[in-house]
Amino acid sequence: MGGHEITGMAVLDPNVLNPFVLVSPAVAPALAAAITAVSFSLSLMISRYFFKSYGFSGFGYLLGLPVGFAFLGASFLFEASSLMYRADPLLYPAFFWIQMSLQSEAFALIALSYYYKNSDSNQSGRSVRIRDVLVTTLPLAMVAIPFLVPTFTLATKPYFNYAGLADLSFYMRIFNMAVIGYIFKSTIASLVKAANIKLLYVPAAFALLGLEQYSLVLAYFDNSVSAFIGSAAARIAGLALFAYIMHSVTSRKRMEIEARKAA
Amino acid sequence: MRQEKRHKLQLFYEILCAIEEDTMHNEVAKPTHVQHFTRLSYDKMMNHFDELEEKGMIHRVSGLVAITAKGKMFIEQYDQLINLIESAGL
Repeated sequence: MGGHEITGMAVLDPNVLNPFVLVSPAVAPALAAAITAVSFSLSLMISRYFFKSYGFSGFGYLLGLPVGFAFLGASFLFEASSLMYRADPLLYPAFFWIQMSLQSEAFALIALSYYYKNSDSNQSGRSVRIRDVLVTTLPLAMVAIPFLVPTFTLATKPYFNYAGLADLSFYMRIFNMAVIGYIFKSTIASLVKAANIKLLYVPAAFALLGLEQYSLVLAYFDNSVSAFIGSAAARIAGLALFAYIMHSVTSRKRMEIEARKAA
Repeated sequence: MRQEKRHKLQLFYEILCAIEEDTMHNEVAKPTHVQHFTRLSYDKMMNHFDELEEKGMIHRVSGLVAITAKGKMFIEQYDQLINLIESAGL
């Protein structure tokens, strides 16, 4: 809670766009650099694993994952950039808006991979017209909303309305939580289908990313530093868990052990 | 029972695994053994052999087949892909 009322941000940022401003100004840049560096590296690492798989297989539904995680990594960079330019009345909200759009777009793209995979395997013999319409429009809406809503808000009010942007961030985070909820449900369904407890890590990773969004919603309401620190911890834990799973399932050593067990 | 349609990558993987399995016992694999493992028609299997040979994953010597290093790498990459897809809950 502490510092932001006594800094210059109190004038510029009454509704706290970038939660890093909640932390003491002496610590915020270093903390932002550390959290951003870790989050960005982990996102790119995950993106690379999926990009390699997409390049090898050419499975279209996989493309949402590498692009989604790359967008997520980029959103963290814009978050740090908005903190760097927090005194700039134009760049600060602009970077914040880009960060929000990229992050929501990232989750929507990741969800698309799960959506298309599920719609692929659930395909029954006879196609239903309403289902076809839903299959086409729902993913389009999911990807379009995170881009159109902030753009429309900016187009209708070309000046940066800080309170409005902060409110928008609340709705965008609710959208993110809904999308992550869908991904979580899909991964749990796969876990139940495969009856393999090892598959529990991925839903857990997405649950942590959902918890990050929830903590940010809490930080939006009460400007709580602990909620923000909790969100950063949940984000890093979720990404690290995801990266660890991707590394362990593709590592040569693990595959050799499994092959030996099978023999 | 209706057999699910297999993706081309999966077919290549099954053919290469069958060749690798057979070459554990002999130096080269017999196409009839590979056909038995993969449950493919002979004509289709020969078409896949042509494609795999073109890609440098197998080589054929007097009617018998052997897997190349590139073919073994394909098996490894496919295993990684399946592990990744399954672990991601896809």
